[in-house]
Amino acid sequence: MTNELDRRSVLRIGGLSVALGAIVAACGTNENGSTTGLGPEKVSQIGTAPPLQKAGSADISDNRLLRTATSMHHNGIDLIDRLLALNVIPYRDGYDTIDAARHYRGLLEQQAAALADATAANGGAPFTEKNPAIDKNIVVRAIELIEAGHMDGDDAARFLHAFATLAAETHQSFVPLLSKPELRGAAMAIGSVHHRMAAVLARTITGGNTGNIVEVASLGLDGNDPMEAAVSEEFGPKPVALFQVPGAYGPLGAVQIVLGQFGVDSDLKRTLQNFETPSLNSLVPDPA
Amino acid sequence: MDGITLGSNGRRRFLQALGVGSAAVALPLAASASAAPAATTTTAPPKRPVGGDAALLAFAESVERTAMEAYATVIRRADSKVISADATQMLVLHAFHEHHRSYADAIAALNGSDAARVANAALWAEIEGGFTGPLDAALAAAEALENTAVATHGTLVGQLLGTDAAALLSSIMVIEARHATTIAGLIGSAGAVPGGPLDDLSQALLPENYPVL
Repeated sequence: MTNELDRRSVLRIGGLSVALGAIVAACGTNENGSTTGLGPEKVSQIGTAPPLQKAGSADISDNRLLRTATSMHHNGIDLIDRLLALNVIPYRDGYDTIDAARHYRGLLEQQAAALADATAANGGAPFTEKNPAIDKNIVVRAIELIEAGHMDGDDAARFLHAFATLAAETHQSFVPLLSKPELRGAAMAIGSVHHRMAAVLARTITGGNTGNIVEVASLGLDGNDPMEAAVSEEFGPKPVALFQVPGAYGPLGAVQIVLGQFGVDSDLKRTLQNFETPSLNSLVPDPA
Repeated sequence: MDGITLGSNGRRRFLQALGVGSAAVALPLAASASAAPAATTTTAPPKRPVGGDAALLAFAESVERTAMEAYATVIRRADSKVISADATQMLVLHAFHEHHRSYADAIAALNGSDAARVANAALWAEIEGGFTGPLDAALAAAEALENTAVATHGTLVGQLLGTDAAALLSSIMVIEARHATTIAGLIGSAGAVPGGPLDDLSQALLPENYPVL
């Protein structure tokens, strides 16, 4: 036996040391406090990002749903008032979007009152205000984009159509959540009227264009081309095609609309917006 | 609801919070907890059709098959040149016919072996005349039938116990409301704009008056 290390032993010991070092390092605590060996627990971030919103309570009661539905109607009344004040809803010959908007506002007032009555009859506290989440995330933002867009009223009319569709979807989405069948029926008696208004608005916006009466591509039928855009595609995303009858079943997906200003690279840029039905963060709690 | 668990202690605390005396509930709760530890405390409504839902769904399906027959009648008469319809009117007739076929099939699929698979004879006998006259009259009859279907399904949604069936009929009735409004726009009737804040469910067909045979 010799004390001298030959070249093979040096390489063997060196390789073993590197392997052991890697294992020890992986099992140790790093400077971020991680003990998993999989990297830092907190990823570094450049710039700012909005803080994560905590989900609201998952306690979805009938009264909470009724109060939320009521609140949406107050949002609708408010947005029509704002659009009328801004004078951005178009008026053409005959019955047009501005007439539809005024008519819709009257319906919304009566629907809000009916829903408030239903809430009280169900033992809840009627809600009489706008939904703050919908106001902030949908109405205020959309009107800001409409004003920036300068689209001669088309955007405003399309936003009104989008809101009617969203209100209709909201009622439909509440049906499986409401515990009492009679409340489901009452909700849908209102939801179907929002759909009727959406059909009216689609008709006025598209000028009764025959291609926009009913969506037939999904049925395998050949129809006229729907009127999609009052503007060229080169200026931004194509406007969403509107139909008086958009499909065989009431949709529940995000309501899409293109809003904003051409030719800018800011938060006012013309882009596709997605409006979602109320969820845990926007349901109005019941104080009872 | 934080802190409330499914265990007997948690349930007792919950009942106490509701003002129910612990002595009155402790023994039954303890007994139920030990006898059936997996018992659910949910009060969520049933999803699948239950109880009288099957009969209500069969009725709804029969109404949809009647609507199919109504549109098919007008299409046949237009195809055979008995009446004259332009391309837009034909497209609407075909599309709405296909929608009603889809509704009938979807309701039947949900109802399984309880499906009706037939049109409603009493309803068809009542409305057939409207669909065998001039096109304007047929479209007016179609608008009325769509409004009747909306009211009927809306009423059924308020009676069905299972939420799957209620959700299906809800998704159908809203488009039938659009059908009615669209036809009204085509023929220039008053229904081209909704007249009230709620659809009038008093127009609903009652299953006892239109039996599924």
